[in-house]
Amino acid sequence: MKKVDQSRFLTSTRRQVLSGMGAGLLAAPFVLSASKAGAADPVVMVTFGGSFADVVQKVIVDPFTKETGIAVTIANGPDLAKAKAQVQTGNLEWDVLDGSGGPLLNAAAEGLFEELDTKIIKTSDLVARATPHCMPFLIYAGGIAYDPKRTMSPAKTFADLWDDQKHPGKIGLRTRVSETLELALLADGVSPANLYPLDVDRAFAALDKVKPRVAKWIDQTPQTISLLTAGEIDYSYTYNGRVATAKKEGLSVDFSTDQALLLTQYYSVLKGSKRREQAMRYIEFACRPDIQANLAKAYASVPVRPGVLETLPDDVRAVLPSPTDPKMVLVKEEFWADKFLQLDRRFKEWLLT
Amino acid sequence: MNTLHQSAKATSRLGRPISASVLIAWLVYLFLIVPSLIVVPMSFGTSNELVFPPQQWGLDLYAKALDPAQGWLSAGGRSFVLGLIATGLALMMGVPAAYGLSRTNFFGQKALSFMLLSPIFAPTIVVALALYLYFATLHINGSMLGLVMGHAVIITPFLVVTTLSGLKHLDRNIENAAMVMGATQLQVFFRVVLPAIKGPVLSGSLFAFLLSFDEVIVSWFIARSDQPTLPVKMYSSIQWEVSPVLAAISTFLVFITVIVSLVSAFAQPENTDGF
Amino acid sequence: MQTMHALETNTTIGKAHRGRIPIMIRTLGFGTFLLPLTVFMLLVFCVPLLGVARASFYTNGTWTLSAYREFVSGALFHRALINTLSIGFMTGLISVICGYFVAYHLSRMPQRKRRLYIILVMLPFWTSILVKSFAFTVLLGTNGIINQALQAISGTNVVVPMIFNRAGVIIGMAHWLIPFSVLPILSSLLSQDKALRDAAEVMGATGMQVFWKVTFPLSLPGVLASGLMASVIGMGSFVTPSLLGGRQDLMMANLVDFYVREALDWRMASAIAVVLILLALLILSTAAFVRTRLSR
Repeated sequence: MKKVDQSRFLTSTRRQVLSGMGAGLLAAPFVLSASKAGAADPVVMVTFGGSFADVVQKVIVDPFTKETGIAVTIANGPDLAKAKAQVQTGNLEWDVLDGSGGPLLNAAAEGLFEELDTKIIKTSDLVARATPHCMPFLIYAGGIAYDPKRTMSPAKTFADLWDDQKHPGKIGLRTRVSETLELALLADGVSPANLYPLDVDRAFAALDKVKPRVAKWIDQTPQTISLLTAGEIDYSYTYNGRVATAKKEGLSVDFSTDQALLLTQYYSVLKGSKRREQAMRYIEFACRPDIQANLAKAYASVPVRPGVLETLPDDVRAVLPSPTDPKMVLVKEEFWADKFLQLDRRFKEWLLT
Repeated sequence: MNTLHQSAKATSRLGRPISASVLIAWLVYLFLIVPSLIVVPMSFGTSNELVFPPQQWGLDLYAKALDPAQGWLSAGGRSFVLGLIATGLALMMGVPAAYGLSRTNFFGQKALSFMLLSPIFAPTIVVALALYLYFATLHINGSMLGLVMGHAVIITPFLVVTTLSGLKHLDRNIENAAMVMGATQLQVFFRVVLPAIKGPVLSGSLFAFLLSFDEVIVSWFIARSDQPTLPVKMYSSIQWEVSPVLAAISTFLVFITVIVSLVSAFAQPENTDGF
Repeated sequence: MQTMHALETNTTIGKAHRGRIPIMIRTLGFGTFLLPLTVFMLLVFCVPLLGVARASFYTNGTWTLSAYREFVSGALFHRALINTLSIGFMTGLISVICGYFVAYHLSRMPQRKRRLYIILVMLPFWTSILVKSFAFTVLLGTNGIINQALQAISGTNVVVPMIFNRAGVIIGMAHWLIPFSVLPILSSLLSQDKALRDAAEVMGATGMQVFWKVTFPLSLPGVLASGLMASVIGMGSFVTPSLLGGRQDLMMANLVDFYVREALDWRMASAIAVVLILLALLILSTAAFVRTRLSR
């Protein structure tokens, strides 16, 4: 009898609380519309932390503010889920997002970003391609890294890497379907010119051949170097900038410049940004030839505007892969916009079996 | 009862049940601290890459970790304060709730206890996303309030579990006796129950604090990017590399903990029961 | 024999007394103890989570079970489900066994010493998983400390694969979950009435007998609680499997993370999360059922 009393007491409380909550939730949209973020506030640009953010601050943000008077704040950790939540709730924390790869293009297809304003941004005349929502501002290379002390005659192209007679050893590849399928097709002998649209079945067949030698499918980028230096793998698919930093710190790592994928990093403006115009101007500024040259010098990235690479000093050019080099393959990121989810699913299933 | 207790003490010293168990316990301790021990030498390297063993020795990483301009100190301080507040909130809600759960048996009690403990079972990434969306409508994302609430959700269930297992073996006769004597429920809770479960509550709080201090996923979503907690700052610094500064920070924290606990252990009087 | 008797008397007294207390004060009073946390969890956990759970049924303005249909029909999800259950079970089991030895050891020492040792058990928490995974590579890798030691001792080229496979995941997770399992076991060991053990010893029981007849049975609720907790937490983790696991160690939480943060398919993410939570509920209620059956 008394037990029933207690439960009734609890349920009624819960109901009251829930109805109170309901009212709160209903009111939420009205609270939202009251949110204020004026055009005078700084543009918030979200990018990756650490040394990269320092470079961007010095090379792009500071000169931009100096020239235009538009303040830009750098935020850390461009998480697409946070971007989607911001757009969905209409409560924007960021204006410009720095991102790359299949997930970004997929997010663009979901309608997370403003269309690029072609009146402000010159989306033509680029080394990489702009999509309607994503503007390339940086190109970097993904390829084979090895330890020159351990591996005397290293595999330098993707086809070499697949040849376990001539170049035996354990391999580290990424858990990303984009990049990995391209790599597998190139290893299988597909010519860069005929790479797209990707022959998916052939790519998976090529991956089957190398599967037993892959000691670790790497999810977190730092492991692409740490596993190599710890001797857990002999070859690692990683990035040129990453190898350059490791080398500078005295680690025995080399990056093959004989063949690499050229990958694009993009800027996009979040949908509903109150500072849309300023954000677009920031993006255009970041892609200006002089800024691109400075970025290349500071970060070892390939400029996105044609002709800039040629103006760079020889010592900088020596470490940069050239997009015009036939051995370098520019990844067509827009291929992934509508195929990322489906192919990723297939890739994950392939990994599990 | 008491005399029996006294006389049996001598024999219990002799009859040491399963002494191999001590050996295994030590192996487990070793397993638990070995990764931290490997991190210690890495923290005395000079390179900006994580290497073991370091090629050169120095205190550069500590200089970096303790340099206010790098932001590690303020992130550490923020995590510490957050941990304290969240643990305080967890204590105020969790301990009474555990008491309530252990002393009642009503219809739906199982469901209620599942609900109160459910943050343990829900994938943290989903909790993080749910809170981020929810807090966005309440406009408390990026605030300390949001962080405290998020952390309290995550850590309180653990405090409830520890408190519950302490309560399970508490002799209810004492509570009952106190109530028969006319003590109110609150008096019984504060004067009888709390002192008796002090041990589990204290170690549960330490655990809760550590969980909060270590929590990264919820904070990653809720914290303002220019005011990160320590784990968030660590996590966001690894786009390219795991900075060896993290090794220095870990070693520093381990060192501080050991010192503080040694001091506090010897500063307090010996007391054989409880934690 | 004697101990069992002592146990029974103890519990009967407890039951007899409980009945005499005025029930009304109890029920209402305990409600107030439960109220603050209940309200807090409703507002800050249930409401937000229901919002997400709703997303698993409600997309683009219509109610649909498509995410669940996809889950039931997709090989990916079946594999992830099996992995989640088996990794969760194994880590729970190992954490509890290791945790029991530690908790038992802790329960037999004076308080001051115990405080120090508890800090020792909690020490792993101060080291970020990002650094710890590197330490594990140094320790367990094919060129790691353990394998090199094994090779030196055996004089062969033997390599025990302990990382980037299922073993690596379980080792890494157990390392994380042992501290979780120590506390509930320890507090149930400590709250045992020492007089029971002493009585058994006086009656001539050996140390082993005392342990298996008194200490262990009395600590079983704590063991069960901590085992379940460790398993269920293990089932929800994704950082350790992605850092220390192999290609076949994908867990449901990895998929949740992927669908939340990369695919941005929150419908699918919520559906997987709902399945994961229901799974935990199922395991816990089965355990509760078994426990009441056993104690009868």
